[in-house]
This record gives sequence, structure tokens and C-alpha cells, in this order.
Amino acid sequence: MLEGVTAIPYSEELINILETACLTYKNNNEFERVDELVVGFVTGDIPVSFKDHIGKNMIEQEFNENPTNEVFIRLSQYVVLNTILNNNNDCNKAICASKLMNYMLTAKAMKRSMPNIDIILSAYDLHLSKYLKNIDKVNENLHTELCSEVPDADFPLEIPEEQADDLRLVFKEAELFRIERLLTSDTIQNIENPYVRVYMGLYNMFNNLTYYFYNLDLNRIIELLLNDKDDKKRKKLSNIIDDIVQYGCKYNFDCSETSIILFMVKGKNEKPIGDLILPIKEFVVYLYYELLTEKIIATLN
Amino acid sequence: MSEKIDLIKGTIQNSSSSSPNDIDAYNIGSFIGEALDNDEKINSLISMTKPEITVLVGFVGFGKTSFIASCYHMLLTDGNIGDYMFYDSDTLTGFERRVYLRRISQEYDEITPQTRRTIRGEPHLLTLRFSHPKHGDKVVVISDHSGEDYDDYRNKKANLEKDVLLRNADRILFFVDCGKLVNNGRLNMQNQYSQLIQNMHETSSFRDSVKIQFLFNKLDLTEGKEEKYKLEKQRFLDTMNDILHIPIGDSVEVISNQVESETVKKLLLDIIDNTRMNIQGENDFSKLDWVKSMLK
Repeated sequence: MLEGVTAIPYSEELINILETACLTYKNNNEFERVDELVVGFVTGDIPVSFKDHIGKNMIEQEFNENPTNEVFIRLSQYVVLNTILNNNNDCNKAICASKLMNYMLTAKAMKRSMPNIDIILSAYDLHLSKYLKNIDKVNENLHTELCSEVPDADFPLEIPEEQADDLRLVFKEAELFRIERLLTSDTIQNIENPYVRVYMGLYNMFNNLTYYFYNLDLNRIIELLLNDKDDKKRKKLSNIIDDIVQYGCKYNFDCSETSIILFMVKGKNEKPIGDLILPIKEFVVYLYYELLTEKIIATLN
Repeated sequence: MSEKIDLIKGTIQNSSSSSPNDIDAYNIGSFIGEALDNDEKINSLISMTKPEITVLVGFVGFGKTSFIASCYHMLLTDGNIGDYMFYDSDTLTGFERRVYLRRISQEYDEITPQTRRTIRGEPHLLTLRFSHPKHGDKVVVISDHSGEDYDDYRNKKANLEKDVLLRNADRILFFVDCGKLVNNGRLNMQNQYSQLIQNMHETSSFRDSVKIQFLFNKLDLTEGKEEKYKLEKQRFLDTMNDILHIPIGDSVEVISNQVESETVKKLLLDIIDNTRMNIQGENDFSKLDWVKSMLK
């Protein structure tokens, strides 16, 4: 990953020292590590704590090189990608990959050059959407008698093990119904500004979801939230955030810096990305996965 | 006289000068410092982006040091080149000594040729620091080995193999003495370069995408022999093309010690501008734009 970025290629020994240093950075908090370093390599503003950690390790081994910011950018990428690709926990792996991908909104806005694009892309297959597709095994095509049996049944009711999937399907369908009812409710549909409608719809949806690991159909959610005339709308990100905040929307939970839209709604972002013009459907996708990532992290805590 | 030679060899330094081994002293960013003697030290320079390496290649008396001195003089006089502001160097003593040598070589003909140029083994790495309003800070490293070092490389491949910097150069500027071209010295010079380039190939001294250019120096010595110069230059370049097997960039013609030369300015600006690394694909966000793939 460092190829072509140092004036003289680093020695094997130094590369090994850097690798060890990278792998020991904040090794007790992978989410914080990924957040910090994704922001670092996308914006070019590498955290001082990371630079100090690397520098200290080099000096301890008597290396006096001064890595350039470009080297630090690649080292940050290495830490992030290593955390994702070599993670033993599939859910954490998916969360870290999603953090990386959520923050690509900033990369898109800042238009900075991005090294090692092909290696970054290898983490894309580990996104939460793919993870949920793998773990949500509820077969929506299943025909179940439970729906006709349960309403009239005497309780306590015994449901045999072979009907476990039937029961899961019923719960999932109930959740999907609740989502649909919420998103099509007057409270949401009467919001004229489509960006605000999307924010309110998704924010309330995730607050009301009882289980976050269903593989929901995002395109169906978009259909419910947007009508034909909204479809082609585009707006500056800063104006979208202004609309949302002026409407009185808030985000009352902890959120990562990589969840850039939520971070902006909380009034915390200082990165110059407000000028990015965002089509409304793309806004939905970014916001949806930011909320999903944050909710899943919250359940893990 | 001996004092002048000592000065060239870098043995006389005032108390504020740093020793070549004192890496920290090189990096404090103040205008002091001898040229760097160790290629690996480039990675110790404080820099936001990869320093761009330009290696000046030429045999004894071909004008490499004078060229460097002219560039430095120009930068000190103007303070900037294009949109780049020259604000610092880690090797100012090295530059000053070269300017001094150029000056005395112009003014005192009686001084022996040995005093006018870089001495074999002398620290050869010079740095220039620039600031650009849009692209930020840049460091340009110029290697000014002595002509004798290249004679060594021509004769002993083993020495060439040790030149880490040459293998990592972004640009190699071959110096051609126009005086030799028009005074029946082309074949000799051509042979010298053929041997050197052959050894460079055998030791893999040309990195991928290295920019190769020929600088025809002392153009003033061709006056009255313009036709011959044109012919000999073309013959020389044809031969170099055959030996190099690498695309050669536009040649540059420079008049001896001409510090106000537009050509030198243009070349220097090109060297500096090249520091803006533009790796293909790095600015192509479309591959990373995953959101569109989620939408029907």
C-alpha cells in the first residue's frame, strides 16, 4: 500500500515496525479506531494520536524517518482495512465496512484523491446490507397455517420446532406491516419537503423497530417515502440539513463521525462538504444505512 | 587556495552549521544545512507529500553545478516561480557553496578547474521547499553528484548498484556539453553515455515512469557552428534513443551561467510541478460510489 509514496522505499524492517505499530493502535476499541482513521484518510486530516503512536514506535526502534501525510493516509487505510477484512466477528466486520462506506459521502464531496481504491473496494462486499442478507433466513414465500390457527387457539399454545420458521415469518411480516403503516401515515406523508419526510420517516422507523437484523427492502421503503414528483429532486447537503433542523428534527442518540448526515444534524460536523448536491434517493440510502449502523452499534452496547 | 578547496569539501563550517549526521538539525526548517550525503536521509525530511527526486547526470565539467547554482540564484532573486513560492531549503549551505563556486569560476580564470565543481564524494542532495496556494507545500530534491562519480558508474557497475536514489528518481536530467558536440567530441561523449546507460539498464536504475530529459548546456559555445550543432545534436539524440529504450522528454537548451534564462525557469517549474503526484484512478470516485448500486 505504500508503493510510490516514499522517496526511497522503506526497508523490510521498517515496514514490519509500521505494521506492528498499526496493529496495536487502539486495539481495544475497533469502532472508534475505524471512525477516527476513516475520517483521517478521507479528509487527509490524520489524528495526532495516530501519528504520535506510529512515531513513538519508530523512534523506539531507532528509525528517524518522518512519514509524509501521504504515508499516514495509507497507514490509516491499512488499519481500517485490516480491522474490516481480518475481523473474526461478522457483525462487527459489517459495521466497520458500513462506517467506511457511509463516510464515502464525504469523499464524494471533498473530491480528494483516494489511493488504493481497489483494496477499499474489497471491503464493500462486507457491508451491512450483505450481512443482513446472509443472516436473515426468514423465507417470505413460506405458506404458514399459523396465521389461521393461532387467532382461535387456546393458550398456552404449543408450537412444534418445525414451525419455528413459520413463527419467525409472522413476526417479520408484523414488523414489515408496522413499518409500512408508519411510513404511509399522515404524520409522515403530510410533510411537504421530501428530504424532511425521508428523515422523519426513517428516524421514526428505526426508533420503532424492535429488531434491526431483518433484511428490509430499501427500494420498497423509498417507494413508500417518495412520490413520482420527488424522484428527481436534488439539493445541496447543507440546505437539506438546514431544512431538517428548521423543521425541528433532531438526532437524540450517540453517533459516529462517519455517520456524516446524523453528525451534521447534531450540528457537529466541521468538514466542508455542505456544497455537495445530493439526489434525494441517494440521500435516502446514506441516511438509511447511517441509522441502521448506529442502531446496531447501540444494540451491541 | 587550500581554503577554497576545504570549503568545497565541506570541511569548513561555521558553528551554526549542522553535521551531516544530525538529522534533526536538517529538519528544523531553518535556512541552514550542508547538502545531504546519504540517499536514505530523504525519508527523514519533513514533508506533506512525497519529495520529488530529480537526478542530474553528467560527466566532469558538463555544468550540473552551474545549473543548480543558476536555479538557486533565480529562486532567491525572484522568491517564487510560477505560483510556487520558494520558502526554504534544508541544504542552504550546499546551495550557497555552489553559487560561490559558479561566481569564482566566472571571475577568476586562474583558479584550477577542480575548484569549480562538485568534488567526488561531496554531499550531493539538495532540497528546495515550495508553497503553492492550491497544492500546498512541496519538497523537491535535486541530486548533484560529481562528474567523477558518473565516471565511476560507467566503469564499475557495482558502485551504480548502490545508488538507491537514482533507482527511485522521478526525473533524470542528462547533461550534454554543447562545446564537445561542435568540437568533434560527440563520439567520445556518446560512448561515455552509452556505457553509463548500459550499466544503468543492467542495474535496473530506471524506475517505471521515470521522466528522461537531455539538457544541452553551454549553447553559447555553438555560436557560428549552428548547422554542425544541429546535426550533431540529432545524431547524439538518435543514439541515446537507441540505447535508452525509454521515451525521452523534450530536450532543453541552456546558455552557460545564464541565470535569467526563461528555459531554465520553465524547466525548474516543470520539475516542481511534477511533484503533484497524480496516480491514475485515484481521483476516480465513481468506483467508490456504492450508493447507486443499491437503487433500482
